[in-house]
Amino acid sequence: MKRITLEERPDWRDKAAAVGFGFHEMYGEPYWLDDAAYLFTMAEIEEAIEDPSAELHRMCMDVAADVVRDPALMTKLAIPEAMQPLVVQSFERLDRHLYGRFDLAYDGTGPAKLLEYNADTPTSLFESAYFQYNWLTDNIERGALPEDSDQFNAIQETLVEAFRAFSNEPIFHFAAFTENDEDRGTAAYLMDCAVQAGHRTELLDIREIGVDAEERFTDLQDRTIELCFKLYPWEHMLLEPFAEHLMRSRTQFVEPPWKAILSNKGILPLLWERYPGHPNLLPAYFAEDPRADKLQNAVRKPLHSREGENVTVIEGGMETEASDGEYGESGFIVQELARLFEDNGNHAVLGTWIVGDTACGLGMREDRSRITRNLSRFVPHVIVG
Amino acid sequence: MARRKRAARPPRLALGTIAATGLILSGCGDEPATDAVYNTPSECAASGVDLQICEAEYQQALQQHLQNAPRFDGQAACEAEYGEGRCLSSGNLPGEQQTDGGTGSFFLPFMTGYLVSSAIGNLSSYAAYRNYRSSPSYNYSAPIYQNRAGQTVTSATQGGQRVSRPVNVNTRTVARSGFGGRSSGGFFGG
Repeated sequence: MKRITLEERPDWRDKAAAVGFGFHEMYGEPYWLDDAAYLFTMAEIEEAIEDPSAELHRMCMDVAADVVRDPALMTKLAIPEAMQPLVVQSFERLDRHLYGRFDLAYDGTGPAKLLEYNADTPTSLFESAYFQYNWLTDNIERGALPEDSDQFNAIQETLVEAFRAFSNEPIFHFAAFTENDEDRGTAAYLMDCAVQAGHRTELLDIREIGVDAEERFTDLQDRTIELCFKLYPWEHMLLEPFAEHLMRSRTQFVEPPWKAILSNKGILPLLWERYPGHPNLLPAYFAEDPRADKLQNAVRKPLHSREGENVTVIEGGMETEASDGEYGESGFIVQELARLFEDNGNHAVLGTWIVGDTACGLGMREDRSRITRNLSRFVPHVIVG
Repeated sequence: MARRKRAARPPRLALGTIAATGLILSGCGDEPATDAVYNTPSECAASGVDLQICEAEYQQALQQHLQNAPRFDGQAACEAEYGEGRCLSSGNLPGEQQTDGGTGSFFLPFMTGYLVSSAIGNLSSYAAYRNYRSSPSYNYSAPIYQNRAGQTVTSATQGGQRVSRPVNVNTRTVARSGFGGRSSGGFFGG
């Protein structure tokens, strides 16, 4: 594994504009890097990244099966008591799920370590699945990368296949926070994949979802919503006014309610407890567990947090780095500090994509800070040799 | 190349862009669904569709329902699937609706309504309807019934089996904005 630089494609901004990839700059900073790449060997990808990702997903599913049998654990994960039957039923019905992204620490030596599972509302999908693939083929074509260069990327193909498994009888509604370019772009990309799988799709803002007198969710045309992808976290939905209609609504949500278990940082101590010493796990405990204080070098994270908010780094027992944010009201976990790949002050985190139950691709993000935040940059990757 | 970790075919975009300009994205040839569900022909006519068209389509839907709805040997088995009092025996049907004369009766869920396509709903007269019906683009109005969970479904064939599938139906929204209130930060991906 190493970080390389190469000349950017002269026309990549035009190509981004042509496909509607407007968020390659965010908050006035570049987000997509066209002139750098992470280089892996095939062995690193298959043995250190792909296989462990598939195994971690299976382990997470086993932990989820434990959690739905134990109301105390669900309470520990801050799943509201009234909503626990919804989560349990969706798991027991095997409500179909679509995708998730593991964040892994890996520096080319030793096993990759799980940082967290973005199992409910992961983004950086379009750049991983689509734009990164074209970056590779363009660079092979212009001779900037060897002819036999490869990439861990069957993401879109796997997504279209996964969409085929959903009934195409009802309209597939997509709900997102539409004012946000990245969220809207992610939803639109997934809608495109759904269309390729034969679905009729319709986008609406999460706030536009309505409810009728029979507690069925409705769209802006006053039609019932039967099947709905939502790019909005379950931990919020379960606390909002319409949560009371979720049990009776019969709307099939994607991701399903049981993903509230996997996307919760509380899955990390539960994994460590079930699989102590597993090579791809870091020691992790709930913050109130006395063992948490014994970790000298650790990261403290809220159960619910996105974009690296409210994360604290502890080294030698002292806080050395912290990020602010709006999360943390429902509890914290403490996880042993992992060594990230570092090059010239860039810290890299690997995002492996799980679609359905298949590990099918990789996207790299790097940040100046060890806490990967919303100013992180997406960097393509290439497999050589 | 011995192994390959990327899909053989490059990803494509059916719509060419993820900058969703419209809110509705449909597959090729799919009309945006503005179909309407009616419980009875008179309800259909009250919405402005020609009564004769409403009645003809109701009969079409009923015929389709009798042909395609899931069948059960006994009432109990049917009610287990669709709920008490929601099934009828084919033997109780008026003669003209019998599709299956002589082969023994069966139980099936009640048809509670039908889904009239916008193409039919927009026809101006029964004569126009007759023309439309003999055209290759004609699609009969889909029969609608309810499953045990109260979900509105229609019949479909899947792997040679008759199955029920949910459909979107028209209703009246009584409240909105019950989700998304915690979205002031405006960013949810992670």
